[in-house]
Amino acid sequence: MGHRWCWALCLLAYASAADASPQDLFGYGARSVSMAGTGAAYADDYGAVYANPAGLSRARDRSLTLGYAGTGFGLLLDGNYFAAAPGRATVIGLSFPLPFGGVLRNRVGLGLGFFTPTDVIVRGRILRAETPQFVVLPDRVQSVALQAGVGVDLGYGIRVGAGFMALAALTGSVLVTNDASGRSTSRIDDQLIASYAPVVGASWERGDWRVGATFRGALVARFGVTISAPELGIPVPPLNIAGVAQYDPSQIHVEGAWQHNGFTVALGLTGKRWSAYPGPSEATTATSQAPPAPEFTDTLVPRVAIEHRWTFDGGPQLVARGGYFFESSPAPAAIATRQYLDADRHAFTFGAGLSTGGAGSRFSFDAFGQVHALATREGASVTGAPMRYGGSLWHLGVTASVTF
Amino acid sequence: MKKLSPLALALTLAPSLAAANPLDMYGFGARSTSLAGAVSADVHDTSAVYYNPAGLARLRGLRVDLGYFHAEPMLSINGRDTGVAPSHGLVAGIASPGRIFGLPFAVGIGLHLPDDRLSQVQAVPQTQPRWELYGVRLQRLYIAAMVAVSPFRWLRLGGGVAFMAATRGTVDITGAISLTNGSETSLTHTVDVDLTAVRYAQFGAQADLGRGVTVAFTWRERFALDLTIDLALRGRIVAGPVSDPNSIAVPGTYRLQSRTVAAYQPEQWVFGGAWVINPRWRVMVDLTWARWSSYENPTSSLRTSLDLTLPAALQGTVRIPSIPPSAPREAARFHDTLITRVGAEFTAPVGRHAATVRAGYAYDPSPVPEQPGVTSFVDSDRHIFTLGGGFALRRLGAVFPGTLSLDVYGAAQVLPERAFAKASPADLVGDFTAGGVVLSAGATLGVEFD
Repeated sequence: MGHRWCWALCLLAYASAADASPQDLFGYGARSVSMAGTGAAYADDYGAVYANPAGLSRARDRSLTLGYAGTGFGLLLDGNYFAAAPGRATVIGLSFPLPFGGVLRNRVGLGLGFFTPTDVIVRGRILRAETPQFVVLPDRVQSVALQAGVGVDLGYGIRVGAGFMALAALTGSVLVTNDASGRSTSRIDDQLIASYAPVVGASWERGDWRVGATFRGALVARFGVTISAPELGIPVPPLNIAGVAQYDPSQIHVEGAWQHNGFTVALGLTGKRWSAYPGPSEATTATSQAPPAPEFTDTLVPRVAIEHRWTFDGGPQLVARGGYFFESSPAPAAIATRQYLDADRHAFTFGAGLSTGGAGSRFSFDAFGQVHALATREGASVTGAPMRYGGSLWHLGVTASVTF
Repeated sequence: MKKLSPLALALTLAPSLAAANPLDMYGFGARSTSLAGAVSADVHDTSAVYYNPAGLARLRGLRVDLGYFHAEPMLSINGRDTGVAPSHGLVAGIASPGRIFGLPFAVGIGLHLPDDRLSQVQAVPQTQPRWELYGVRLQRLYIAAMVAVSPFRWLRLGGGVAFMAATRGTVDITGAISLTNGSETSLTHTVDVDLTAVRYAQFGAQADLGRGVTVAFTWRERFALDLTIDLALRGRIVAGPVSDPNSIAVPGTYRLQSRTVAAYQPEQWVFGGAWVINPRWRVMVDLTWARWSSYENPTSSLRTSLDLTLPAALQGTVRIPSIPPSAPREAARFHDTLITRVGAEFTAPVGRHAATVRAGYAYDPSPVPEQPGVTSFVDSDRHIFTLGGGFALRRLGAVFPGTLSLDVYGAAQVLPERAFAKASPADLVGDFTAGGVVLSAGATLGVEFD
């Protein structure tokens, strides 16, 4: 019987092509991450591909950004540390104006954003529902993020933008059968297919005030491989090795910002439609018991951030940033048959930057970080006994940018 | 033995998930492809990301290319079409030049995106003759990011990385399989798989020697992808109702460990030259050395074990099947190749615009040796004829201060019929011949700002 599982294994390996976006956890770009994931109202660099593509229309210089970020976990289950692999990733960002002339001069900008883990492109870990797992957190940082966008300045302070985020999903089939000589043989056909989610946004500015709104579609990395072995002599039904390796809910973010004398203050609210989350796994066979529904609920994430920029003699600039956001857990409390662990998160964000010019270019160095404190939560263990879980996580990084 | 065969085959054929670089086979961008790829010293668009990243430093302004390609293989074995899958999809690139410390600098990204999928896997039995370098092996994504700088007016340097992914993972399946009632079979699975990042480097240089002559070299790193898999199946084989404690149940564990080299691209050294004879004519040549000799047989190394615990009632009456050893891998014995590419381009001014005609030829000898044994890798030498043209519209108004270009191409790869002879008269595959043609065409729309 072993070879049936071998086929499953071969294909499951490619199920790992599923990706997710760590920017859903932290935001994207040094400025946005250190300002509580805000940016829909004021972003003007590569981070706008996620915060609000409309902000790309503010780009006036070609800019290349390289960076490095790391994430660590201190998750707790009944007072004991819960093993979770840390994540490390490189950050690449590009933004540049399209040099049209006439009425389109300084009105159109493009941006590209990559977040690529150094060790893995994506981690796809599907556990049984009764296995304790922080389903929303650790593995989601182990995923590549690819984003692109364009922003257009329509005039009158109105900007619009659109872009996409990309992941990969798997579909396929395996047929194990016998050939004419009675020997087992097999046919395999599977495909990695692209999974896209739109990002559209708009902003409006008047004087020191700015408002922005961004919609991001659900980004789903599903895999599904059907394995059939009709002639093995054992009545094995078709095997459905399927599930959702990574999932970002569709979401709407609205934000207002005030910018004056080097200060930027932003207030935002993100609504996430977690109720559409289908759960990580599916039944292995038609007769096997299906995993329990995750019963996630929609969430609202309030955000507040502040930045101050000091300019010295019209040249070098020093920037300090900070913020806070609260992300309520979409997961219900754990029960014996569904050990999906998650808790409300209080996220404190911070960062600093230095920029200076020279030889016709401008160089910027930014450091950013977030500390998330998970509120301790009570649930039931797999035996039905009470248990408590919570903990913390951190995310730190640095970037260097140059305009050219 | 009967049960192990598909197991071995499954892992043996897994490497077909990945492929040699599709750009090696079908080209990248209309202009470069219509010049048979002989452009390492004279690449003018974002296809420089692949052909020679140093060429990015030549761009005058922001450039965006968007195109489409279609390749239709018509390859046969013993005169019968083998149904090798066509390739078609999007080609795109963006490059932005500027200056750092006063030196010309550029960054570029290239993308080759097949329609419908990022990659495809089709596995067939190992002994079945298959076109080793065509078909679904070319149905995969290519994405690369490069930077370039020009430290001197006559010298340009470039480099960067392309991205791929290897796989390692485990699958754990538990439950019960009913021998007597399939509807009672109940299984659950867990998966822990990492798609690990694989980055392979590429560097290039261009040097202007004066009188319109430019020489260049490009180096592309060898890469191969590992597919490492551990599997454990822990369960019961049950004769009778699964829920009946009196049913005969045989608990056991099946383990499998496999490592497969899932893709291979040879290390490549490209030496090229281009001569701009006058504003209308230019010619170019590339010589590519491809180190195919390090190609690994895409067969997995496999270790398996089966541990069944027979109930006392079955002791002495049922024999635990033994797991035969896995088949040894034969060396692929591919050999290095030297690929010759030549191209010529004629440009005629049409007012302030320009029209261009291009042609090229490449000879790409097959790296696949004779196949007298159990493997049946099929390939033949390639004679590649290319033809193309384009039109460039310049200074279209105040809104668009740049050049808008449209380039098209057609290419024919002719693979002369090749005969493969098996050493053993009893070989199930037997002697065969193979050959054919691969036709391809494409177009690229380019925008370059001044």
